[in-house]
Amino acid sequence: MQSRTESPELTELLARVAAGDQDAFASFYDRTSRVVFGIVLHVVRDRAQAEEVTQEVYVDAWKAATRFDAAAGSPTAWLNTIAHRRAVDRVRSSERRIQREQRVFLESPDEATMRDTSDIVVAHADSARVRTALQSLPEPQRDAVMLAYFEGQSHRDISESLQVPLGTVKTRIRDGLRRLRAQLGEAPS
Amino acid sequence: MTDDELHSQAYLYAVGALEADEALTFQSHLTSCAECQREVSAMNEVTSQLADVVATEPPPALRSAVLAQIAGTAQDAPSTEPAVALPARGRHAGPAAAVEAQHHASVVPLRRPVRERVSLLVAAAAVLVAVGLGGWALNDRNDARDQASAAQSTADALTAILSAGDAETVSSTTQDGARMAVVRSPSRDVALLLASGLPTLPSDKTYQAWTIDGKGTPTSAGTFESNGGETAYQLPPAAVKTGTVAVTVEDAGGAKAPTTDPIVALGLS
Repeated sequence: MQSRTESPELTELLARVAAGDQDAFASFYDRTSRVVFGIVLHVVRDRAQAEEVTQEVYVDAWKAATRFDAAAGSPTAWLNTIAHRRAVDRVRSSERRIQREQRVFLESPDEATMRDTSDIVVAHADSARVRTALQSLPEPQRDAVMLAYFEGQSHRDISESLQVPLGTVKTRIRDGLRRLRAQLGEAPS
Repeated sequence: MTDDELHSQAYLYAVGALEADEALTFQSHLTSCAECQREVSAMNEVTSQLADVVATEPPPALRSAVLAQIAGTAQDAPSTEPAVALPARGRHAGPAAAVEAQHHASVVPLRRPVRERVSLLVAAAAVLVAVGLGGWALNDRNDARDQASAAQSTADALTAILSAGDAETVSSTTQDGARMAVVRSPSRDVALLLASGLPTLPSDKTYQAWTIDGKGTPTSAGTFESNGGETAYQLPPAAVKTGTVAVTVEDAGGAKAPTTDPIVALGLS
């Protein structure tokens, strides 16, 4: 299991990566790849594309390690943010948009959008803390946050999916994230 | 959009829910708003933990592919700007633009280049072949057709190596700081020499690769050029099996035997 309490060691690894140390990068990969691949796979869904995107993420990380600033955030947040952004970018292709729009017409919006994200709250034994925090959110906030983060939906997409105005989406995401921050903290325990 | 409206987008931005053009606008705001920087950084720590929930073991081949690719990839120059500043000022293009945005939405245009799904690693080939390409020693480098086919051949070789389960790599750095690597797959019978930052030589000189056998005898593996960027050069089949690959600087046209000390020697096991 990739424990998040290894953050100080990850910072040191990343410093060595920044100096061009490929062995350190291999260790960095070993410690982080389950989470990176996991979020990429979940957002992108297609396995072949998830592998491509994950590779892009790590090449990004290798190149940008030289500019990582430990004062600005944890190595894990840095890497996972790169991963999530790359995955969302991949999934926001026009092809995927069309598929989603067609799906919304064919099924009720709630079913179409919640079918996959509902799996999240029952899976993965080693993330009880996070799952508990997610489950503690009021459903409107949880839905909005999960559609954004795990489905890669834009606020416009979410507005369609949940049939609520844009402003409501923004409020629900803001409140949901704030509540998660209060429960999870910014640093892993 | 007013500043208040921009501030309120920080949460959408952090969770990836802004459209690409909105994210661009917000990023510009971010470069000059410390409060939003703090908010986004804090939210990234929260969303990062969400990713834990879906952790999934990646395939072993992905690890080899990643390590092989980074062996031939130059790292960015260290930034003198604060980490959260977005240096999207047109200094870089293509994949590097996404790399620059380490804390922010990857500003990738909606019109992405179409990728062929030949294997999961075509992107690796594209990166390495894009600038400054070597190939089999060509007599006439002005022949566009030969250069294009050499490019394709090297791209194919790289794809083959990186998607093979037995891809191996050994890398080193020259005295001048250029990074070089040999990547090979015995099962695919291909080997590539990758160089990053190898300086352009005067027109009367060339780089030459050599395979060196167990007795220390060098055999020419052809000449290649570099323009200071990233170069890929497909080595002849002998390199797949031979112990060591070395590179020297020779007079243009190459030499029958090395006349200078190697700038790098890379040992394949």
